[in-house]
Amino acid sequence: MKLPRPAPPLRFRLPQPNIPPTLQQREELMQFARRWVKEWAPVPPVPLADLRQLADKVLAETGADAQYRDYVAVLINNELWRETLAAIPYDRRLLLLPKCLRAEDKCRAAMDEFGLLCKQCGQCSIQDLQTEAERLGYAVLVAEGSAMVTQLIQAGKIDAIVGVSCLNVLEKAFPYMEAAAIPGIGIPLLQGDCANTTVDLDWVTDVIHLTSEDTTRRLDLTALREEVETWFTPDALARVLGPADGQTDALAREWLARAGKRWRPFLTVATYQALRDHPGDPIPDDLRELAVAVECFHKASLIHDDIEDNDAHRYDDPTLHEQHGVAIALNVGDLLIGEGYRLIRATRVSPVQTAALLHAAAEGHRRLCLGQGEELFWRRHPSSLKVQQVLNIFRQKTAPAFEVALRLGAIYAGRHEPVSDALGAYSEALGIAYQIRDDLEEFQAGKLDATEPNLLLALEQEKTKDPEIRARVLLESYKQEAIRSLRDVPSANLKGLLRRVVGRIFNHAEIKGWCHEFQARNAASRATSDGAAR
Amino acid sequence: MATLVCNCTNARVLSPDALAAALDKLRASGEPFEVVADLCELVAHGRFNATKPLKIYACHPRAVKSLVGEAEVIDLRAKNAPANTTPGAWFPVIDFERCNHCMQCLSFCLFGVFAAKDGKIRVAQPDNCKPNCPACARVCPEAAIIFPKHPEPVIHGGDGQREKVDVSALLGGDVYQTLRKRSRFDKDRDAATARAERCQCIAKLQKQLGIPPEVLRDLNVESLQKDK
Repeated sequence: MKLPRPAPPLRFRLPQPNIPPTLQQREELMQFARRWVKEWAPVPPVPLADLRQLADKVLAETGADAQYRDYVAVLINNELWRETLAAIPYDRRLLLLPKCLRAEDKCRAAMDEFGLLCKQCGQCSIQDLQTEAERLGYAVLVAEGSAMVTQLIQAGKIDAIVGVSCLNVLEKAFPYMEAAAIPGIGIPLLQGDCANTTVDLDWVTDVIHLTSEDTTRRLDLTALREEVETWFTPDALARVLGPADGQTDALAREWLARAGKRWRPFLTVATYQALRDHPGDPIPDDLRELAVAVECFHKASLIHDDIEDNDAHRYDDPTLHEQHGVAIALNVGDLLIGEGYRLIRATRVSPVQTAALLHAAAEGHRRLCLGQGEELFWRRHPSSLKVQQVLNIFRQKTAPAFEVALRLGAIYAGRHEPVSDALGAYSEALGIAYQIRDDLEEFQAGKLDATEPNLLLALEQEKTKDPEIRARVLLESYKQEAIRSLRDVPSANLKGLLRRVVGRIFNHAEIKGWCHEFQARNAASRATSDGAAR
Repeated sequence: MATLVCNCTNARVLSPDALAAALDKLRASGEPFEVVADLCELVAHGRFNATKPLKIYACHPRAVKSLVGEAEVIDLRAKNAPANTTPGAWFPVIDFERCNHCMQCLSFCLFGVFAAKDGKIRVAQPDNCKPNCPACARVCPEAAIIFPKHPEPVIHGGDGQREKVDVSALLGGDVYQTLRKRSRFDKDRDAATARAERCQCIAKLQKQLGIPPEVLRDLNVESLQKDK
């Protein structure tokens, strides 16, 4: 099995004090600024003083710390320019990256009169950002300090700027941007100390790809996810599935309604929304049924999984077989599989589409079982697994469920064929990344289960120096692979939406604990290295 | 005359051999002399108070004179001394023979290292400077800013003028084209670089392995050396 191109080594550093410490907090502030600007719609360019006043309002409304003022001002300014920037073709934009993102003691790149000439050694994030931006058509400059930037702006020949920079330089460059009214989005570095700095890379990737061709860019994924969530209340399920017929049905519904992340039904809906002609339009009932079908399959596999794994708990509750015995649990799982197929069959589409939907579901079902089977047979004679073997098991048992979810949305939209290959590659990378994240969480919680194939265990057995870091790099590599797999997707909407979905799945609340732990580790190492920059 | 030797303990830009030889010679001469760990450090913190006339064994004369004023300087700097991640005292040293007080460095620096009084620039807060950052030196239109510990010529205070970079001229044309030309993905550049590399490698191999020219001729090397 081929590993994806490795992501650059990860850097874990605390943000400077006037930037929120966790990605989740930063995401929340950004989302808030986005909604706020949408509502109040101030017209850019807005002078710095006014921007700060707007920031104060946002801070007051969110209850965030007043010291985040400059950071929030940048976020607001970005939102002001967002749509203007999106309308400017990639090849009329300039991407400015700061030299301090490089690995200070490893970088061998020379400088010319403009800035750094990256040697593409893969030790920092500059290479990937530059490559991706240049592939799209950007002119890219890795600059040192603000002088070149202000001169470029003053030269008046730039149509738009995407800039990664510390708050200091952003502030410095701002008056020039404002005076020239150049549309620009600035992504703040998390540290302003000029060496080995970090930035929210997913944000940069997102802004680099921002284009008005992608009409899903304004689609509120949070709202979409919340809407999907409402389909799984007992009442909503009864509307889709009809009234429950006896105890088995009641148990199946109860299980469906139970907590879950609902990523799979969300993916079905997101894919459809991206591929239809008007992504913002209300979601048709049929699609809702498909989304519930996807969740039926997923919940069935969980129930059967719990029996096969002999797990007593899921979502902090007793598992179904623990409560009602194996026989009843097996039967409820079977019922859910049947329900899934029943819902698919009930969609009012052409017979050809119905056949394609059923085929995709059956194919996914089959591959899921074969993958799970590999693991079950391994368990009868557990031997230590190599990293690649573990990843291969992940690929077989996790990817198919994502794949079915994506394909059903695309088939229902009637646009499956042109995106088929990309969806396969995307779900594979996404599935593996998802499973790695699961393993990392188990590892961090101190709950390594040696009876299951586990990436961290495999890494430990291969005597990897720091398995946790290595697993994080692998996770990052697969996330990037998922984004890369979208390159040839002919629909700008689907490409943009699925790229954002990656960020959505992996940047959210679930990784909170992880951040705290690294902050603690960072703080400790900083205390011992007399506050040095690394 | 007071004699001083800078050991450049932190950044180590001096040639170890030249330094050892100088020290041997001084010891043999019986003249009194003083060795300091890091001359930059003394100046930065106002602890430099040697009486003049002065003879200093250190790095490039232009750097040292700009740092301490008039002195006889013996240059012990190593050729191609690499950058050091912990260089010790790090701050811009202004060569006032070149500086015309244009204040670009003042407006450029984000950390308040520079200050101006009566139209004259000076380094007011050397400790605010970021180790290994030579950015203001690159910005200076007169190449008047020296970082004695920096590895690059002219920035480290070596003689010679840096090529004056007139960015506005460079940017006068198509900025996008100018920047794209620097990219590793620029097609023109790629072909030329690749050809240059191929020629270089073949020449090197030929020399190392003693390959007779006629063998290469049989291999049709010319076709390799042409652009693909």
